[in-house]
Amino acid sequence: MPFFLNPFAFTGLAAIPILIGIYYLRNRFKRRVVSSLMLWDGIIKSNEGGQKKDRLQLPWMFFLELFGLVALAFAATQPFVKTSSSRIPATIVLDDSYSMLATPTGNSNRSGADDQTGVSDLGKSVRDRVIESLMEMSKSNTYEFDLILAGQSPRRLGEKNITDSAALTAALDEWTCEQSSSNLFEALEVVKKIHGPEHRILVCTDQAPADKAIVESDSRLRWISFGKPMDNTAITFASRTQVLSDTGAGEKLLVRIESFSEDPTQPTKRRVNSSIKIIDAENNRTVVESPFQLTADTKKEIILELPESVAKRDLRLEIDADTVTADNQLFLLAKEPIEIDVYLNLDDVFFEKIWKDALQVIPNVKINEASPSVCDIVITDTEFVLQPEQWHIFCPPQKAPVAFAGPYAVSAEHPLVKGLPIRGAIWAADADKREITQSNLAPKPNAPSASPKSLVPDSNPKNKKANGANADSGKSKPSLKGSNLIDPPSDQDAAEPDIPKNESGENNSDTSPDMPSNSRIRSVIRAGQTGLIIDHQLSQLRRRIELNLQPKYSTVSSSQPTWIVLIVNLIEWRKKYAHGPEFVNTWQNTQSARFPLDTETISLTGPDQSTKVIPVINGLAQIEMIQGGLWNAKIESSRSNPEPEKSSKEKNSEMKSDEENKVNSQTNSETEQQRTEWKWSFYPLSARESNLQKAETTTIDNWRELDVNYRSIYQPAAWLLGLLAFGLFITAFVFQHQAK
Amino acid sequence: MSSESATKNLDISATQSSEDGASDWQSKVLRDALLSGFELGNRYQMLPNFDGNRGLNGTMFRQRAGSSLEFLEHRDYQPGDDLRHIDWSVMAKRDQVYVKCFEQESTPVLDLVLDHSQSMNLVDSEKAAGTLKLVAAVTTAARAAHFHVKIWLAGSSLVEHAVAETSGGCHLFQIPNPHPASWPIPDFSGIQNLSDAFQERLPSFRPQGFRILISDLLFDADPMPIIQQFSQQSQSCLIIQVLAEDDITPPSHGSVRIIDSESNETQTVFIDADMRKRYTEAFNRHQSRWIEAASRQGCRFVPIIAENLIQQNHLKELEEMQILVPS
Repeated sequence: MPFFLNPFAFTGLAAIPILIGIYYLRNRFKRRVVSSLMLWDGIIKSNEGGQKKDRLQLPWMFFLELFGLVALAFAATQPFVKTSSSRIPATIVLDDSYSMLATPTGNSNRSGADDQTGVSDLGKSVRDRVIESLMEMSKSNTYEFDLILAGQSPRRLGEKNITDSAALTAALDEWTCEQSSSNLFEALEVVKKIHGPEHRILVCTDQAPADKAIVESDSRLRWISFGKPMDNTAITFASRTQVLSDTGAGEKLLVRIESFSEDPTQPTKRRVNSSIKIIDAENNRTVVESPFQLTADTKKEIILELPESVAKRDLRLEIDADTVTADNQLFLLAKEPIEIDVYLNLDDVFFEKIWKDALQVIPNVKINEASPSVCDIVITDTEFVLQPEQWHIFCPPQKAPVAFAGPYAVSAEHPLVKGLPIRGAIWAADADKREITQSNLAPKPNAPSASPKSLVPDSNPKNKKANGANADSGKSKPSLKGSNLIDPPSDQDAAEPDIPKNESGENNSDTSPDMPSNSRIRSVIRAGQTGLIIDHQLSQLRRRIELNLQPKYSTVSSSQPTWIVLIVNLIEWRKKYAHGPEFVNTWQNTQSARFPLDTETISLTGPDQSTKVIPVINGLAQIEMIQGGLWNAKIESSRSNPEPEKSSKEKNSEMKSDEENKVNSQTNSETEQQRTEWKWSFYPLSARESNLQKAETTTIDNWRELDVNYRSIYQPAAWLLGLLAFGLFITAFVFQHQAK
Repeated sequence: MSSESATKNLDISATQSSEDGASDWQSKVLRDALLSGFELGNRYQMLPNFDGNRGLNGTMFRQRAGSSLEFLEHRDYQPGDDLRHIDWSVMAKRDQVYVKCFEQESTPVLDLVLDHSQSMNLVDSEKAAGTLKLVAAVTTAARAAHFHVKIWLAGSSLVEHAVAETSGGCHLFQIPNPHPASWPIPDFSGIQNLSDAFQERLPSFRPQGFRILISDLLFDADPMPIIQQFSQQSQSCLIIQVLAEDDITPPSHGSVRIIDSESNETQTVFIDADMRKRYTEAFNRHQSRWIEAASRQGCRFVPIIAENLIQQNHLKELEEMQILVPS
């Protein structure tokens, strides 16, 4: 019903009897005495038809003016009416964790209590019951919904302002409930920030709020949960590890299984007798089946050794299905080793030897002596033109080394120095290797400022000779021809390398997960003002690490494991930039994956075989997973390989070796073509979600008062009535004008 | 008009006359109109020979040979002249036949017929007052020219102190004194139109006299017999159509209940532009019939608006027709 802000204006309706009176007086026959009716007789008879027509015009005028007056009077009362668009906006926050798929079975001994709470219908999951409730709510045509999925992070579901049941059903079909956790309160905070205080929020979950007082005090909130405590046995953790065995590379599985009872206070503990099956995912063949017995509310960790036949195959783990099926199985994929190709070419034989010794003991490192352009890491004592995603370890010859005994200024968060035992080590390097750019490499406030003690270099002419012999030795090495090798830079050149910029002329931003984003040249280890290890990020995924070390005069490579730790750090750091997903088996619903730099988009296929295209920016894609199972990413489109930045020297030398470049790039592209597709497993396991003891059916409804207030908000209709009155009066005026 | 409706009109007239206030006020207005007409007529003198051409009856001399002994002139003999007026002595001397013309010694007479029907006293108009002013002015001007004036009331029998009988037809309006102040006030209560009144009793017109008919002529009858009766044996005749503005102008836009002032018959009609046009056409058509009939009978015709008569202090229309001249 409309209400009127100014009901006194109804007195304007008194104009209606006035109008009627005017029309009565106007239409009353005027009395006129004439000398004779003689002249009128013929006229009246011939005009009777027209007379009727004229009389019909008057009622039209009258009704137009009557309705105009009524509309004007009603407009003056300032009426407010409830319009059809006045639906109450509400955001539904849906628990997207897999506990929402918990389905009661007939074994529950709490069915009597369930009957009282109205949740006794078997075979319906909590999600089904929430959907039923929402569909019922949508029938009232009172609300317009926004849907937010509360998983590990909030996510919008469906379109905005859903009003009809069909759109709601379509949106809810995408509610899969396969997240390992639901951050309801983060989703609530997001909704509250987006919408005003009048916006209604409905939380649909399977548990009561952790703090009911907070929910009850918020008038915007309605909290409904349809959960109920149920027994559940779940896999809560699983991992797959490579182990070395007598027969070669083997694998072990660690599986944690937990059993949760519906009531932990029950005096009689339920016992679970089941088995875990390890199934080859490719042929669905059970590889291992291991029975286990578990008392309720306990957990058991099972370690299984995998036969070598399935050591590198994708596996599926299963236990017997129960109320929650999502936590009864998962995929564990074999982690493919990341191989790092290293090209090593140093004039210093000793230095090259310690490099080779270290690299050979690190798994999955391959020393490639033939083609440096296809290697991931190039170790030389000369400058080298890097391919995209290639690292250069530059080990310049130390002509007048000075032995530093510390203390060393170490960039502690740098991946190269993780666990590096450098204290007490003697590091020999040319003392004139000043910092490259003093502004970038300014010592940190807490860095040691004392000048390092410098040891007098070995002045033994024998050693010098040995050095010279080493330097001059004509050891057979693969010749470094072509443009990849250029003349050794002068000291100044080495100290001020060409800092490349991207195509737009701006400085390249760091895409390394371990590097501060604003750093492009960074001193990793310094002795006073002398940089011992200097990290230059040249461009996207190209890096030049300058290692100033004379190993003969140092203890870094002999007395302590410093050297091997440094090399392992280097290799592990480089592996993080390898193509493919960050984690092959993950429980988190988001992860990043690296692809070749020229990749524009990838095609992402989920467990339900649905495919969507995701953009790749700087070779990195952020992937969000909403379903547990196997995921697959395939390169969809690529740009042409960008030209590496070249210095003037590089350009000059490039002319000389076109042929070799062609061979290199061809080999490189062939390598890239080998891998365009990656897969990984997402298993949303969580003991918190598998534990249904806290599931509860409850409703906290703070909307009633709000609904009443909201429905009292009406739309003003005075303007509409005023417009109607204006139109009626204009029409009446036109009719009257035509009649005259 | 039927006798029943006539009786009804009499009743209405009696009812109206019984309304003393209204009657007194109207009597005063009409009396003032008579006095005003008297004053106006004093400024005029009626020409004794305003007849002009007689029309279809043939050429008439402007001055007829009379029986007076006052010699006027000689003129050539014309066939039909009285042989007794031939001047035999002149014929003997000149051998030509001459007729002696003597100045006629005759008293001019004016018979004025006033339509006394109720339509001449139209409600909310100056028609009655204008008519009486005109009658007073004409009779005064005629008396100034030594006319012997008789006023006949056509269609009326209820003239107090003036009409001896009370039947229909035309009756002499008895004027005790030439001064209009002493005239009885005609109440225009006639129940017959001119046609019926002439049929019932024609006025005793004096031959070779001047005749003036004052009426609105708004009745449904053939004008020709009326004018023939009116102009028979007259020297000259004049028809003055006195109309109210309301007779010429139809009612304005809207629904109107029209009441006949004589029969009290009513008609309801919606007046619009088309209706007004039709009325004007009908009025002009009716007036044209009278003008044509008058012309055929050698009568002169002049329409006068009553409201103009009241407002103006001259009789311009009659001056232009050389009927009245300023004295």
